[in-house]
Amino acid sequence: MKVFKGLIYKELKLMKNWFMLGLALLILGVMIGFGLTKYFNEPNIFVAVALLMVVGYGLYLPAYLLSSLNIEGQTQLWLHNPNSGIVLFLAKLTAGIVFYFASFLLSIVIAIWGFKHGGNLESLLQLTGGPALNIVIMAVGITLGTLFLGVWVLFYWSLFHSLKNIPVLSSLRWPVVIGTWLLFTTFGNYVSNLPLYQKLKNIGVIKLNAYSFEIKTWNTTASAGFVESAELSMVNGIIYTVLVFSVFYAAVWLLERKVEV
Amino acid sequence: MSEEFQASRPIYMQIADKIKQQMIRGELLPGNKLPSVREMAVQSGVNPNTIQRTYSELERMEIVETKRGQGTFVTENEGAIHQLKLGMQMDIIELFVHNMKELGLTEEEIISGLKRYFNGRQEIKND
Amino acid sequence: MIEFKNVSKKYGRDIGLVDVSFSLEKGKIYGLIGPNGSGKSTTLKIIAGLVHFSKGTVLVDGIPVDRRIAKKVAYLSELDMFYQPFKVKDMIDFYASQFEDFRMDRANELLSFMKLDPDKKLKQLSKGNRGRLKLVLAMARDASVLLLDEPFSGLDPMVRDSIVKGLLSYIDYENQTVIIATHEIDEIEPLLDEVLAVKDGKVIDRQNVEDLRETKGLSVIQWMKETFKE
Repeated sequence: MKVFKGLIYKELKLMKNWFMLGLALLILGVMIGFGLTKYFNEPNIFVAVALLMVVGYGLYLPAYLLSSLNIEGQTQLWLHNPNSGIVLFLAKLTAGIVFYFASFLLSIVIAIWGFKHGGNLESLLQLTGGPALNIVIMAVGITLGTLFLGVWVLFYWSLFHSLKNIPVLSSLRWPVVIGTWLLFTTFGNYVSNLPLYQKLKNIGVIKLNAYSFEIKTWNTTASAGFVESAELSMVNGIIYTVLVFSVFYAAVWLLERKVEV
Repeated sequence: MSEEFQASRPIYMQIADKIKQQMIRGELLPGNKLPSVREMAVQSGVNPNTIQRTYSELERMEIVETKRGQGTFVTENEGAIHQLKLGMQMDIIELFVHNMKELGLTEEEIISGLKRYFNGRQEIKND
Repeated sequence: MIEFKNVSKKYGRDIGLVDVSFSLEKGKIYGLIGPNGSGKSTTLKIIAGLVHFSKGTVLVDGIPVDRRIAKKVAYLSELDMFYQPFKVKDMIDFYASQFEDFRMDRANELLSFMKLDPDKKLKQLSKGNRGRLKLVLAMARDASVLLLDEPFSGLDPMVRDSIVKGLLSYIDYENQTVIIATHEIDEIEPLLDEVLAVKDGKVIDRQNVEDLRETKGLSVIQWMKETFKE
């Protein structure tokens, strides 16, 4: 626990400025939203901007981890450590999530405020179950999404820094990482289109009729939501959980045996 | 760094010489405690193992004694110090005489040369 | 106790180490000397488990090295880099939380010995003081191996002197193995038991410093000039 705490404190101190920058961007976004709303006299713009920002938080954790790992990649301070790679990575994820929630909750509050003070809600959104429920479901989805992407960032960072080890590939690190990504994406698409997978996915489905919505503003239509995942599949959940754990352990394996900075 | 050492002689001997000189000059008296290996190492900027070797060498010469758990002390045996003094004098004289003989000087010439040298210094002092 | 058995390491087209074998005893201070890029740094990073070699075996106290050998090995990097927003004491606290063998009392002693203010921000420290802090962090541990990569480079004589004195005051000279990689040998020669000359990824010669003086009448610098001239 002392080790983990130490790592978390270090991480929070190290990335405090990054967090503040995130908040500053959020405030900037709010100001732009307000500005546009006033300028065009169209209250829905603010809601749209606020929602876009909320959705944008899907990229928060990956971006956080990339900047944090980038700092660690410049010194041996992080890797010169007797504790397990699991702990090292988990501390980064945890600190990242702390910042994520602090910032994300603020953006949600802003979005809800936007909804309440927005224009005609009925014309804006077609949703059932009311904004609160929808926002909660959306927040859970975005959080799961950012975690998923974050774990992949750990893996790709480790892969990138492992390639130094292989003389033939050390000058081709970027192409290899991008190639790996393409390979995984193609494979993922292939698997998800397999009839077998489709069948598996349909086991234990919970139908959620709510929460696909469209935002209609005066001349744009921004779609945000989870049209496809309007149903929750238990099996899908299990597959993704297994996938996240596997990717995490692959990243740890690389960190312990191959990574050089 | 704290001290300069000659390149051609082992450092442990150079430090031993320095300690011996301190004994002869009476800066280290019989029964006095030498600095601990660590203190000596820090003072002179030298590897502690080297200092250890210096102390063993002095012990072998029986001019210091190591008392268990207390440290290293200059021997109480004043005869040994006296011997050391005579020995070091002898070394220097031998070197000097050897060099003078290399120049082809006889014993008488060496002695009168020494006298002239000391008298000259005396006159300079008296001026 | 450190053992290298036929260790090779390649960096792209560059050579890291070529079939290097040696063993180092506990209770001795070794100098790893050689020109820049000769393989000194790589050797230290391998012992610290921070670089993975292509062939061979490396053991520290009989254990094959990997990243977690950091439990036994304290490593001072040649890089002048720290976590920017940290204060001196943040760095100390972080090390104390990560290394079981970190001795807080010794760290505080070392800080006052090196005249470092715990409340100073790292980015406000001079280069010399950052060099001192690196040494404090490495020496406050009861590690069986202490690796110092270019601990003096770019530091003025005052700082060098305080680092040497700190080293002599706090190493456990009966149980620790200390390795100092440097290309500035003159000032640390009296510190060393043995020197290993590294060139083009190979250990080309190895000498006991005192024997070198006793049998050949050479200081390490004179010996180096002979060893490294082609």
